[in-house]
Amino acid sequence: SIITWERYRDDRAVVSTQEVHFLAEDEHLDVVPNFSLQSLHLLGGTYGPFRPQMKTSVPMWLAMLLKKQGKCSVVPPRWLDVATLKQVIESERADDVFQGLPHHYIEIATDLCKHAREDLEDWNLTFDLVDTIRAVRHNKIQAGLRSLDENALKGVKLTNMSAMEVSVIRPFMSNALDNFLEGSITAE
Amino acid sequence: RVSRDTPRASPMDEEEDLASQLGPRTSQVPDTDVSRLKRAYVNEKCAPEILPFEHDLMRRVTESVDAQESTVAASRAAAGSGASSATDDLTAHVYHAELNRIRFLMRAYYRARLRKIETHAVHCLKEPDVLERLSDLEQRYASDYANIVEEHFSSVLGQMPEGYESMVQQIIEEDGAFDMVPEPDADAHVFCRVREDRGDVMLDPDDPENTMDLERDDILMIRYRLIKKLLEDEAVDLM
Repeated sequence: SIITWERYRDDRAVVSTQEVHFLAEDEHLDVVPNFSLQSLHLLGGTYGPFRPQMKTSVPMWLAMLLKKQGKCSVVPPRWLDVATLKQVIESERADDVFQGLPHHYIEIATDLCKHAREDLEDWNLTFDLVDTIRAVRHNKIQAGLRSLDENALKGVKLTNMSAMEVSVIRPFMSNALDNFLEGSITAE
Repeated sequence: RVSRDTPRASPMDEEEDLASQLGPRTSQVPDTDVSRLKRAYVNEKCAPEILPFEHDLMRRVTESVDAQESTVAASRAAAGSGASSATDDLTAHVYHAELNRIRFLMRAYYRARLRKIETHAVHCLKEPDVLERLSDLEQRYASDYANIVEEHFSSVLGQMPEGYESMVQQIIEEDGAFDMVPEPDADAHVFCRVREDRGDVMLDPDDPENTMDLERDDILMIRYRLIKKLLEDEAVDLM
């Protein structure tokens, strides 16, 4: 069927990539500080105590701030290692379903590969693997889009979709289904 | 646990291993005003209609931000012209960074609402149950904006043939429909995330046989109308 992009979309209504990333920055990461501080009483939560060589959990925006100031090293999350990522790629390729990666896996991987390179075993390879995962999943999403029928109007479960992926497909899927709806109403 | 006779790893075990290696989908989110503000903003950004204004939340966040700003300024002043330690500088930097994040969320929340008010200004003023979702300032804004738009249009509408000069009706008729007033589209598709297990839920009263099993962290792509009640109940968040 031919899908026409007739419906007007206000650009200000769009959640941009930067905004999705901003929203991801509240995800927690472990850091190992090299300074001492009893605690940080922030409005969003209290963090610390910070002691040299003692691992502690902070939101990603704070982890990146401390990292950029040279105040800590970042502990990569368990899933962000080469062996696990390779396994994920295999599973993504083998199945129609989506693996249960963290909801913000793209944003977290991007930030660590950009600002915490020395804390990763091989940041270049890591980034490539994450990008491969993203591409494989994107193809699966496209295939899923093509297979939608009017049953989709009842609602579609997107199991294990990530935040960035939702944001990327949003304009296409919303438009496609809104047009489906219009078409089905006209057909009645 | 694994006996000698058991094969080394079945596909099922590998799947479970991978799942446990991948970990939880998201970090635990503490229920603070900041996290509520973030949810309020994202819901507002994604919902086709304007949602009820979060009076209490915004008042508390504004107060918290003002208080935090005073505290940080005071401690900077107290450190004075004397040497402040590197840790003091770091602390100030962190407080400042968080305040920027919160101020961004507040502005983004107001902006998301203003965009919808502008798009549906007349509709907001016309429907009392919509108008009451606006703050006092927003109601004034809607009214001022509608007036300005009307003034702007009247320069053209005044030239139209008699009966066609209205901004709100295609043809001026007594008891006629306000068919020129843009309204939000409740059938627009949205993405939403389920916040708590709800089991089998009937989403569409026109199709009661059709239920969906809603589990925490499920992501749905669905018509806004069908999940509006769940959003009001805070069982789902838009994304």
